[in-house]
Amino acid sequence: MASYLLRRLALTVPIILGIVIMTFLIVQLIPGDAVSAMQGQLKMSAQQMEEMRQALGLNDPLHVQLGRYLAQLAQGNLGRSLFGAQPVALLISSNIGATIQLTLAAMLVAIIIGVPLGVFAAIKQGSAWDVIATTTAMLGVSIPAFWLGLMLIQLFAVTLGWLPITGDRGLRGLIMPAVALGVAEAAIITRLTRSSLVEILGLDYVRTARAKGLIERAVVWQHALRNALLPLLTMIGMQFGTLFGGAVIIENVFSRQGLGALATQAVINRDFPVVQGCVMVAAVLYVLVNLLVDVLYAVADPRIRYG
Amino acid sequence: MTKAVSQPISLGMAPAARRRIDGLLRALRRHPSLAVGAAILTAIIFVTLFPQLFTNFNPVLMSIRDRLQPPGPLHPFGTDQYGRDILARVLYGGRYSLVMGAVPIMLAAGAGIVLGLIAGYYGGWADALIMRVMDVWVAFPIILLALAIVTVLGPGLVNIMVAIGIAWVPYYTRMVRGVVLGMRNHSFVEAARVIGMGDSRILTRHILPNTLAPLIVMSSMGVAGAILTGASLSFIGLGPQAPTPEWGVILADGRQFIRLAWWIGFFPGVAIALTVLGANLLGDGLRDWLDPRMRV
Amino acid sequence: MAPRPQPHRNLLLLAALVSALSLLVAACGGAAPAQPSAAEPSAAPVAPPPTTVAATSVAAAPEATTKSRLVFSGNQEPASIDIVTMSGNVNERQVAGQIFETLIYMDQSQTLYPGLALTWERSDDATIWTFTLAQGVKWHDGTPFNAQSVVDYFNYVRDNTVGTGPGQIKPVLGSAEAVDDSTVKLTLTAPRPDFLIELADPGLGIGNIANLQKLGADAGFNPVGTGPFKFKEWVRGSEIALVRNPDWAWASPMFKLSGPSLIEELVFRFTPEAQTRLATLEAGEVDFVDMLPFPDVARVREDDRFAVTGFLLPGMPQMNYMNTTLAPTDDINVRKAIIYATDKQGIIESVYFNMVEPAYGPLSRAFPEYDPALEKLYSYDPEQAMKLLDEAGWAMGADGVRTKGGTRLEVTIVENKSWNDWVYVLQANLQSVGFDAKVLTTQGPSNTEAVVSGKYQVPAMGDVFAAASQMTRDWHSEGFGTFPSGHFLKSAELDAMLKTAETELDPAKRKQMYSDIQIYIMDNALMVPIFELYFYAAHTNNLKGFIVDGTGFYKYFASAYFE
Repeated sequence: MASYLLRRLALTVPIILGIVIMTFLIVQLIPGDAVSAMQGQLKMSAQQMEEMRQALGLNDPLHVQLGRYLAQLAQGNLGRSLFGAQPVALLISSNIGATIQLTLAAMLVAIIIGVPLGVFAAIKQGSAWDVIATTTAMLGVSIPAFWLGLMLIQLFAVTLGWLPITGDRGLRGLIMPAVALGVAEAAIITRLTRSSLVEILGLDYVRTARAKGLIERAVVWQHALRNALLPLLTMIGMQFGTLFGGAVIIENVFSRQGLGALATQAVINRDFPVVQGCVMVAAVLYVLVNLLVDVLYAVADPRIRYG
Repeated sequence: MTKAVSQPISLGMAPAARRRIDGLLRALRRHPSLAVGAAILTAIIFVTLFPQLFTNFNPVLMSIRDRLQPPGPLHPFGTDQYGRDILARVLYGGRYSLVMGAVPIMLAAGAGIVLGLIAGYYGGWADALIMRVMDVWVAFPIILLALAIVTVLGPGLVNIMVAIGIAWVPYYTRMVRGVVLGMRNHSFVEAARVIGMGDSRILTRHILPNTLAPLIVMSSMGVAGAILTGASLSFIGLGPQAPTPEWGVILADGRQFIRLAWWIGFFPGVAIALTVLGANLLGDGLRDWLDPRMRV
Repeated sequence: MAPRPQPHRNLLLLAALVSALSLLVAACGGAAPAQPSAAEPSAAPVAPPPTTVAATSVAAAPEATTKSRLVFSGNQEPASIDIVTMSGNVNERQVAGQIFETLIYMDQSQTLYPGLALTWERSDDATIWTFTLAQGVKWHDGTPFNAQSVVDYFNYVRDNTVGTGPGQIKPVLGSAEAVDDSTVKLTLTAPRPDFLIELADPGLGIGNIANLQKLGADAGFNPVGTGPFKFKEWVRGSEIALVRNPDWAWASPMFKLSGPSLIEELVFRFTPEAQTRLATLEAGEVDFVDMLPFPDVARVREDDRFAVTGFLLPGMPQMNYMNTTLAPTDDINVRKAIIYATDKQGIIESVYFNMVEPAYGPLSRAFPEYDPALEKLYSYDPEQAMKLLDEAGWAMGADGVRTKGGTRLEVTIVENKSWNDWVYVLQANLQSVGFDAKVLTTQGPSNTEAVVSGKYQVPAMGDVFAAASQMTRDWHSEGFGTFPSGHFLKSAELDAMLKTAETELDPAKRKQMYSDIQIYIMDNALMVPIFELYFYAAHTNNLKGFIVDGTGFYKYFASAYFE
């Protein structure tokens, strides 16, 4: 087990390094320049702009800038926002909690809705119920999450007044954003649960279990479900990135503070250090979550560890 | 790969053509999602290509007196804050969303095919390098990567398409590479090498056609995803700018009027959902038809 | 194939419930909601004319308050609140204005009050200003405030890159001298008759240079001022919390307070989306909401729980510059045609729900220097516009766009997103008389870039300032290439008029000079005036005592209390 862990960890490190380098390179493709983007904020003469460029090190060759960036990163310094000079690391750390909260809540909603629905569809395979369930899932994946969010606000906040309009603060404010974000995910989980359960229900060992006379419920729940859920675990890991990205948009819809709001405002301001930081942190998080998922999978399925 | 037909439909066509059509019809009947998906998409493409057949209104013409009308006989989808007919805007705006779906996928597929073929066929360090880069590439959530690229390039329709296209490249690369790996050591490839057929001939004549099926399926789903991503980016203001009636733009407009005029935001959302549904159904149906076990 | 398993009843029931729920969620998301019960009439309500808050000087010192926590909602989180180096956007000034104090205060009736400066004197030519400072003033960190602090501030502004607040006076700062512990002598490099009004701008609060030099970039979120509220904490993305300064004993007479504020905690929240901001007020989460969306003003006014105040912002009204160095706006007839083609009333009705008023020139009618004669110069007359274009040689083409010698009549309007919503109507207006008008949407920094580049014909703009002399920055040729200037007409005549008027001390002569300037600008069609900007704010009915500054935009909460 330990050797498996070490192997996985060793693979993760170069990927994280690659993420950092790639993020750095993207921002280097800027046609303009960070300093000229600041012109509206501070009245600077050409001389002062040049001085600022020197100070920010924008005139150094690429590899020097990269080296400096990596060195700073190692110390936890992600640079400063171009607008107000707040440390990016601080901005991100104070906002990321809300986004992670939203992502997890959406995943929870998705599992709560998706797994039972998928099981139901699998059991009812081929029947009208199955068609209804799969079509609903299809629809769920097709509805734009931001539109669903707006419609939820329209219905539950504006018309009925049951829930707050803003998605901020507290559990009540989390419901609509989590649902808006989770519906598409629920649909994906439904489909995956259904297809893997269908596959398993047809497998030999299931037939054997039935032949031995175990009652139906035991067959379904204990044997089939557990094995059907393993691919689900992997899928959840992979989908973490998509959900996190979706949270960015949903935060905007619900005026909910978080990494998404930070990033979208930074994009509009062309605040490159902040955008760079957000994107990089999201990617690293994705890698770590998948690492966690792989470890859990190895715990659950011994074949992986020793294979 | 046509199957034998038991009751040929005689339409005065050559037998091969007849068989193909029968095969297609049979497929449509057997895979309803294929039929429904194709029907929806065809309808939407038609309507957005010829909006003037379905509405007399100009999508950008303002008519202040008629502003904020709810849906009614004259304006089936209502009017917005400038009096513009929403139905017209939705119909004329469709082309932008469709383009935002198709172009990035074509870009990504193109790049992915090249990279995937190289990685899968030649193996070695090229493969290792490309795959490690793809591993990193895929770690970025699509929306965030697109956001970062749009920060650099600036907002606009073309830039969004480029950004989304770039974000999708690793998925295509991996898929094509997978197909190539599966085929690399097939006997006919060995045979082709033995008789001296060049690599590029092998790639284009033998390997590439086999990537076609999964490529088509992935593209159908990809278009669905790209339309959604594009509309989302457009919604937060990074896409085509007003008064272009792109669906995400109209939705963003509708947001400020959520109390006064719910219809502004409602109908473009339905349009997006319908289009994406069509693309998803088509993709699903294609996969079921071509190879149900395809892992895309 | 194995026989299909019999469904177990409980599982079935659970799954049915869940799928019903998910169907419900999906259906609610997709179904057309019934007409909202709070439906608004679809035609624009005929609204009462905008109100301007009467001079809000407090009648008597507030005695007590029922609530000691005030929550304010602005539209965008500041990037920094260090008064000297912050960029100076409206949200930053609003927050910093509570932490720092200015030498002079001015309320909405344009009355000047002593602030940190108790008395002042100026030389005849308005270049040398002497201030006697209030006594016993301390910075929030306990260090004493004296003439040297003020001198340090002015010298720092003169010598370093600063934000737009101090940036206003930076060009004319000569030297500052501490005559004694509480007297400052400031020498300017040019006469500045309106200097006091400029000093009353909340962006010109006196900043703590020692703190700035000690903390560097971190000073932006660790501000140390002298004002009624001290900085407590900044929960990034959520709120900025200030607490009462218990040692505040030198309040400006404008506040009619002899001691600290009654409000113990002043919290600033920022909600970019207008509807959501309004919702937080209606839900009771905040007490004060700035920048109410125009469509909702009438409705909130009807609501008993809230008081709505409208402020006419003095300055340059919302308008579009016309770039005189680019074709086709280099032709004065084209420019005049644009003015005639603009349907101001239509804009005011459709975009602003009749909550603003038409403008006619480069100065707001709030200024005494405003010249009513401007109102007769132009009118909404598309026929006249077309006639002018015809005469200028622009023939109407088959596709509705005019051409001359093979060139299309193309103009680009530049929009600063969410601040210039009228441009789409302007675009439609221009298109209907034969322009191929495009809108370039930019935001914040990219807007600045677009405007100063001089590459576009019709950039939208507006400006807020308290004294007419500040219009120089919008019109003088030395401002070309810097924000917000956008007409690029190099006119020695206009430049001279602006500079002379700025330094003219006789009020009657000034009025005449500014009249000439306004007429010159409109005669030469350098701009398209659209409307006078009103901003609406709403607050809970029981909140009283806050004071609005001279621009009508910024609120001071030192004297606020809840009934």
